[in-house]
Amino acid sequence: MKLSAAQAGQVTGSFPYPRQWLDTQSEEIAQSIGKWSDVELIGKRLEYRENLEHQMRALTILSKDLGVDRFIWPEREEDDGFTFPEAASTLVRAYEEIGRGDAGLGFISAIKVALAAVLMENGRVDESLRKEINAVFHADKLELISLVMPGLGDISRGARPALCGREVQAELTRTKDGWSLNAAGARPLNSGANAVLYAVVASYPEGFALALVPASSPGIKKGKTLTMAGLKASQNADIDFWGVSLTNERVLPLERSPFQRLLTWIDLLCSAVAVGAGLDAYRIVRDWADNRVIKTGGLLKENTMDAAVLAQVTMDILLARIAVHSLGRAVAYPGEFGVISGDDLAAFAATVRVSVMEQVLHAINRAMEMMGSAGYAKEWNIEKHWRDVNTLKGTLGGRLPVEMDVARAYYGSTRI
Amino acid sequence: MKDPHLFLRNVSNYPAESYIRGIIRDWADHIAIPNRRSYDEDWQAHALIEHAMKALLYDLGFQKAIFPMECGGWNLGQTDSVATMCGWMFEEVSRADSGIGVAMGVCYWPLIMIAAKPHVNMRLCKEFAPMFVDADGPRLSALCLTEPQGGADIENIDIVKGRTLKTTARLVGDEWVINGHKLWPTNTGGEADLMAVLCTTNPGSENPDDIACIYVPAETPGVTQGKPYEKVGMAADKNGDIWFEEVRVPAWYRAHGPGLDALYFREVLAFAMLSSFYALGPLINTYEILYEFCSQKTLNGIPLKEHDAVAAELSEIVGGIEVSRASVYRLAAMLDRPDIHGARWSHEVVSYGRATKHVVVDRCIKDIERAMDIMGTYGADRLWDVEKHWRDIKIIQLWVGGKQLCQMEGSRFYFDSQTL
Repeated sequence: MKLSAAQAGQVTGSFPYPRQWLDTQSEEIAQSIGKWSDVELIGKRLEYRENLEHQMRALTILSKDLGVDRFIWPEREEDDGFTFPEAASTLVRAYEEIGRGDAGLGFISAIKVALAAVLMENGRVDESLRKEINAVFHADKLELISLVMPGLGDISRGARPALCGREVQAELTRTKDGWSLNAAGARPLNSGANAVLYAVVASYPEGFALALVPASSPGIKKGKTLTMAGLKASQNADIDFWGVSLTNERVLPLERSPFQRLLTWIDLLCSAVAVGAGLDAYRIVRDWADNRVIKTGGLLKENTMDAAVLAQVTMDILLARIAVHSLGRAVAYPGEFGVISGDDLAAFAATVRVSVMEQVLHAINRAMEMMGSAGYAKEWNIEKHWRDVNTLKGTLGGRLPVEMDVARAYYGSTRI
Repeated sequence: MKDPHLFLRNVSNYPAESYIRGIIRDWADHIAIPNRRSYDEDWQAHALIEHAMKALLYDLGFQKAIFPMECGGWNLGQTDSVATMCGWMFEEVSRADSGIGVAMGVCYWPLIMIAAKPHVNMRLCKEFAPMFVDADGPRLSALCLTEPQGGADIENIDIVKGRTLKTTARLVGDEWVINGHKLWPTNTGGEADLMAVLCTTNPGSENPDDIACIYVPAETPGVTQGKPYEKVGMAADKNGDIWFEEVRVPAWYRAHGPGLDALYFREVLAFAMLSSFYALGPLINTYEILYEFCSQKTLNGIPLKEHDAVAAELSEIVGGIEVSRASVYRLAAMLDRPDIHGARWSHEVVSYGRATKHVVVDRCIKDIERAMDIMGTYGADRLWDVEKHWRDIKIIQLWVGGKQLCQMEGSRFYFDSQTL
């Protein structure tokens, strides 16, 4: 008698997502990036661990050889490339695959995409701006953008203007020829130590703006490279901007709506990265459960308690994946989801991001429990995903600002 | 400004408490805390860590504590407050660095078998005490349990009954000859000076008489310590492989003998549940850091601690500290007074310890994750020290059989489960 797949112990479960939202080309892109992840990152983890040079080499292959940078930001308007926001679902799949390999690389790459998406969606890509951004996306070597977003303030600096409840870290003042940018100890989201361009959300008396600041500008002082729990690929540092002169072209007005859009893209892509990390953590713990025994002989996965924990790992990731694909579709085609405003979509995106981060962190926490000492040994690599996801979760601002966003959107709160 | 050591005020009426807490806090604030951000990179060399260990274990003398006074020790093992005093010490040391807390605690742990009343083996204490008491530097001991074939099976003594033990002890004349391979003991990776090795005198046997705990000085021929493993945290606690090849020690190096070694090993496991203190110290320090952070950082122009939503989260953290401390100090009280609470190796005490440990450590991890979330990008930043505590205490959750064995042992006693 032939055993069924289940009787034979085969894995029949997948992590389903709505395939109809992705065309053949999107899946091919994802598979190509997935292969890059397997070969350049997962297959070389024991050899390189979190070696920064290796990570940058791998990202260069992705960005330049595989041409991701070229698709994100075409050199000329008429060149082929992703169309924003329609490419959101494709990008979700792509960033899942990057996240499987290394969440830090996914994160710093996602920041570039989010900025590109917002700039293109707002139709503000005049020739001088395009040339400026081309220098990042079309340079021969890998170049990074560091994004300075509003966030927590500091009592020693006094009250600062807030955008969606987040305190702006930098201030612009008008000069005879353009603008002057000032900030003390601004904490970028990413790559403060090695970016070639800073994109700084700043306030000025009449509102807010996005300032594009070359890292070589006089008046920029970088702090020491920060040591973070995870996301090693993002070499971050606090930055002082002391009277940095900017021409008018480098200062783009940033109203509430495009700011929310920027948050939405970051939330979407970073959530996909976290899901990718979760999927790889599942792969690691599945391998462990296939081979380790408990109580003198039974496989871990055949013990009801361990099976329950293993199931929870899967359940968290499964739901997180569905959520992030749904968000991707809502970003691409908000009408299909009945999304009626930027506030609405931003609250949805922030909710998905917070939930996905918590679910994936919970899943990895539980997977580590199954692995005992191997859970915290660097050799097994699962601890890296755990550090990366929690670092990503905090770096994006944690839960509180999102809860306030949701309360504003769903309850009309006005004073929070 | 609130007393930043609010949660480290005395929990007992013992006059010694203030003194012990005071000298360790001074060590923590002047030696360990100023350097701990560099400990991760020091995981192999232990250049900085050794300095802190020496100051604590040798200069302050804590490595002597467990031994009887007759041997030059502080008699900790023979007091009615051994576990509670360990609580003060482990909390205070782990507030600075739980890896050093663990290294210190494991210095005592294998010696509980021979240095704790009512089963002091004075001959062995006198044999090994000089190694620690008359030393010219820090000395560490290790308890060798885990073997390659099964992580938590050895600690699961009630069900597995030692039948998976592959490390063997053969009595040849008046010597034990030990062969086997152990993984992961704390204070190994080249650090251990004295090891207690759990082995079997009859491979495959379920008879408790065949479980032996034998002491092996690290210099004994045939003992090989491997290099330390690289871990997510707790750099001060080195772990590695240890191989025993035809290792010969005197027959009287066995802790107590047939039946008693297995019995007192259960007591050693109960003491292991005091490891909750290694997680509570970091959580208490996280409170201290959060106090500063939430007073200094603002959201929408208001200090974080003045936001009701943040206050609600902060309240969860202080609640976690208070409730966890109460339950772990209760465990310590149970271990201190077997005349009131029953033998330390009884199912009730072991089960209470297991149940408490997994809930408390889970709570500590959750609360530190809560703190990291409040702190946003600064939570994962080494400059604020919270992420170090988070990485360190995850290790405490996963060892000595991990969370799941704690859950099973908890249920066994409280629900009379027979097969778990």
